[in-house]
Amino acid sequence: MKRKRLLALSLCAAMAVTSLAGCGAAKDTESSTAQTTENTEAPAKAEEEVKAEEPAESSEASTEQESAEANTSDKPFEGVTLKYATTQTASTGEENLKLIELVKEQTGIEIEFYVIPSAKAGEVDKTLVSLMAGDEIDLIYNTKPGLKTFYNAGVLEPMNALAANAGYDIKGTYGDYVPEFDGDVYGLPAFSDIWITLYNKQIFDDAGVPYPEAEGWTWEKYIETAQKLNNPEKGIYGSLMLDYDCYNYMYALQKGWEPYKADGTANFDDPLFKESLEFFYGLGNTEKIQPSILEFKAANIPWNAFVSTGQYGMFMCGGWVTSVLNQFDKYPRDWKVGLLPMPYPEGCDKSTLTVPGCYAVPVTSKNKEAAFAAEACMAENQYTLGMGRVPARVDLSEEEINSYIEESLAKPFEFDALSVDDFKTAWFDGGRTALSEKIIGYGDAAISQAVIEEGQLYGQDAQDIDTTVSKIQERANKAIEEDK
Amino acid sequence: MKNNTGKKMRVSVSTAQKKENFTGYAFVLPYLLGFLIFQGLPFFIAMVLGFTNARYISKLEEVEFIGLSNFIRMFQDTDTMKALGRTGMYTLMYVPLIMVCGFFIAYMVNKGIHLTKMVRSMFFLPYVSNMVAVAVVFKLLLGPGGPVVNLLLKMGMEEPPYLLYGLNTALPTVVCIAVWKGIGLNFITYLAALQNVSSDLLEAAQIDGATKWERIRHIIIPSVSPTTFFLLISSIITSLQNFTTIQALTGGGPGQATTVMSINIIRTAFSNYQTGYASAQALVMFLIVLVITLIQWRGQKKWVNY
Amino acid sequence: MNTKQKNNIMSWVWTAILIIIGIVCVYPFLFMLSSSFKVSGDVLSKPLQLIPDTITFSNFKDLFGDPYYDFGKWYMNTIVMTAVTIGLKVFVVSITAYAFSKINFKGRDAIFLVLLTTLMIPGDIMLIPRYIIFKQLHILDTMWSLALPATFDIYFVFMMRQAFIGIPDSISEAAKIDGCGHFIIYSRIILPLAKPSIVTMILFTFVWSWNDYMGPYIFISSLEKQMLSVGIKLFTEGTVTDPALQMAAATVVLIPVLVLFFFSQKYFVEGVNSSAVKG
Repeated sequence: MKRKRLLALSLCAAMAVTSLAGCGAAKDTESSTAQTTENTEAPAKAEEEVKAEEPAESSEASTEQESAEANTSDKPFEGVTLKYATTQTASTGEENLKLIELVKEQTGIEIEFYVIPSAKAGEVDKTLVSLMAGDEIDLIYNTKPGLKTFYNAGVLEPMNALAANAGYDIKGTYGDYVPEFDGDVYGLPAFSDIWITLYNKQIFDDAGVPYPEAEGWTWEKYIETAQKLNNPEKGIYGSLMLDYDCYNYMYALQKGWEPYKADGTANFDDPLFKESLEFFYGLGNTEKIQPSILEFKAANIPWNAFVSTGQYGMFMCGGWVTSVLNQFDKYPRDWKVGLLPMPYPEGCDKSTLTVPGCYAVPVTSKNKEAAFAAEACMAENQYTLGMGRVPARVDLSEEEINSYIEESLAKPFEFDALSVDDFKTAWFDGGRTALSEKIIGYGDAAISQAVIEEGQLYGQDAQDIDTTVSKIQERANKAIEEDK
Repeated sequence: MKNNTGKKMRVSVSTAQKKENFTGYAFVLPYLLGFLIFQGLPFFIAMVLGFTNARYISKLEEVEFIGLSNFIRMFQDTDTMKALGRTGMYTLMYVPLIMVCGFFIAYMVNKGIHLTKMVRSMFFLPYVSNMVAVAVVFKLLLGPGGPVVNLLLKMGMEEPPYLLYGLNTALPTVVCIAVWKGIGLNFITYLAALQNVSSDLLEAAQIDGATKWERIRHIIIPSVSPTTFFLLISSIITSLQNFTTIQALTGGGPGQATTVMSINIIRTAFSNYQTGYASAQALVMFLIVLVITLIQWRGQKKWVNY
Repeated sequence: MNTKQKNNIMSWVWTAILIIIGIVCVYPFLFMLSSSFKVSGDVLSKPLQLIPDTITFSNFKDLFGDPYYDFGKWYMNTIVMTAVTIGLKVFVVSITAYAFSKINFKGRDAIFLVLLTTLMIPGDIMLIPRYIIFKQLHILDTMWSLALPATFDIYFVFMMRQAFIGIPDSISEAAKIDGCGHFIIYSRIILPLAKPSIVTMILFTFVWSWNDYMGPYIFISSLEKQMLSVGIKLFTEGTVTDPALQMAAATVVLIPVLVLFFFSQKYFVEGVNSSAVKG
């Protein structure tokens, strides 16, 4: 009996707690909405509050703010606070912190982060959901192909008018790197990711193979070199590539293939694409210079395996992978890395894959002019921060590039003793054709999915080449049709 | 209620019924209100979207009602139909496996074994662990140099298969891992139900000389049948909500060997941004499960012991 | 004597069998645990080694000593959110389940069936509609956007309903004759009898809310209000894919769930001895 009464009592208590919690709910929402309005309507105040924590600077900041009103010509957006949606990797990274300091210094604009975990392909992109629902965000970052989806969703502000207002020459500064959809510009490219070949000098030394030259670095040479480096007893492969969509069609792209035909239909029935599939999967299956796609998938080889294992002679990938080369605490190594451009098919022009990273202004921004000014500052200067970025600018002079490489780009690679010429030939070779790493156009996401799925089936010998090609072609055409 | 009661009695019954009705509604009202807002409304919106050509919710002004086009398109879309077939296969493997294993383990644990707490925790652990972390582990276990491949090599197989990457083995492998991951819920729920089985009845049966199997069949299984009914429906539903598991393990591959409806719907919605079409697919899934559940609901009287 | 000994041997045999199956269940978890004490490189190069060559605590130090993120704050957020969810849910769900099983009101089964159908909707399709609704309700970026939908979930109403149905009506009939109202029967008779089921519900509600990734990812935006599951992802992404750190994070997240589980064991044991129908 006693126990029963106790239980009834505790139940009453639980009910009281839950009803209290109910009240708490209302209060909490109230205060949080109050907070958000405060944030949006009075950014200057919020800024002051932040500043107040550092008393030494606060007086300076407030005077700066007062003078900002008068001094419009120099820093017209002094004191404005903008919200920048970014993935975690980017926002706490040294680079982004340096970047917002730079923007603050040059334009007086304060940037605060709106941190969103990155989404893999096929997962919900929260930035887009948030923008589609009308949340206020001032700056976003994405790759040029990535921005296409945002453009389709109608959440990006066209930039030509903004640029005209600000008297800014977008095309003259960034050339073809600019993400342009249906005649207007929707972002400012800050850097370009250019594909390269990295090689492990230790493995070359052990195999007695001389370091390769950038001049005439063709696929034929690449394969020949990799075969010499192969050492199955030690578990060493001459080459490493990943499983991205672009590996499937890179060879075709380099030979002049395009993913869409002139009439807008898919172009995967072109013999060049078939050749490309055979080429890429042949590297693992017949040449055996790298793990076959089945081994790659089943062994769960990570993208950073080249650095973390030291078991691969060469690594052909986007230039962004160099960011792990100087993280010696995470990836300790005693061997040196060499740098070469991306190989190209013999008899063709030199070429490489690229993808520009861009900043864009969402339509939900309440201060688009300021956002544009901040982005112009970011896009122009991000490469100067010394984080191994290749500028996406076409207006830099030879001297500017040279001094940039010497003073900034080569610095993190002191251990590897890479020369200015290495960087110039890999990343700043004007004579090298730049091809888009991603397919951009109708049905691109579904096409990329089809290429990966069917291509890998061919790669693991579960499907013959002709079936593979016709299936990709069929699925791509369907995707294009459905996306129109 | 007896039929031959007088008129007065009948009136009083109906007032009692009215009171019963009132109490019933009062008890469920808070829940119903919350349910309408947090489950009903989103579902209704998704359902409406299924009849439109909606793509981006930021461009609602371009949305048009297109009647049943999405549904017709779905049934003409071979990839989606194949995904539907795979979902069926997945469910047919997953549900029996998890039901039988869950019951068996719960029965054994309840029967009084030694080290009960330890055993119970062992089976519960997979349920609470993070799928992404677990996927990394399984890929290593099933990959080259892993124990599974090594075992097969020792048994004399020349080229042991990588189970997660074979066209025919990927789906069953994923099912087994999903059962491993999900068994905790079935096991614990069965355990709670088994603890409510009347020990008096069991003792009486034992005295009557019933064998162990007879006791299981005639006393235990009927006693836990409401739980079985619940777990059956819930396992069917869990078997359809397998996106996280498959995405982490195979991403739908190799080829499309593990691309089931959950993967297909999410890709349609969030990779290709065909919101309307994805909603229509979800709606069809909903209807299929609904029909299955209704059949079970009707059939439960035959085997569920209330 | 003889049969008793025989029984004892048999139960040890069964124990051994179950432990062997159990080890298969636990192995990946042990792997996770051991990896979290390894240096990054060893996780992938020596994956099957359970006892690391070099045991390091640096992964855990990295987790709790991160300069950008307040790991402890995320922990607290998640605990509060989960506790509120459980508090609301135990009350709302059990009383609703009681009505659906023990009160014979008109249209009961029809209403229940309609509710039950929503269990079958693929949940992700409702993400965007929910986002819009939550925005209207101004509960985006608060823990209520996670706690409230979890509270009004039909799954456990169904489970509790089935559990209540398993309790013979004769017990409540007797109380009814004594003049007890439904609330008294619910709170004094049914709830105590269904304790193992309620503990089950608490346990799984905890696991679901604790591990939910999609909810906080979509509905919570401020870093300081974020939940552990997303926080961990943010953190492990930050330092380039690092399997050892990932495993350490997964281990740290798991600990409270295990604590709760061990705590709840007591109630299961109690349930074994007290037969429900004895009264």
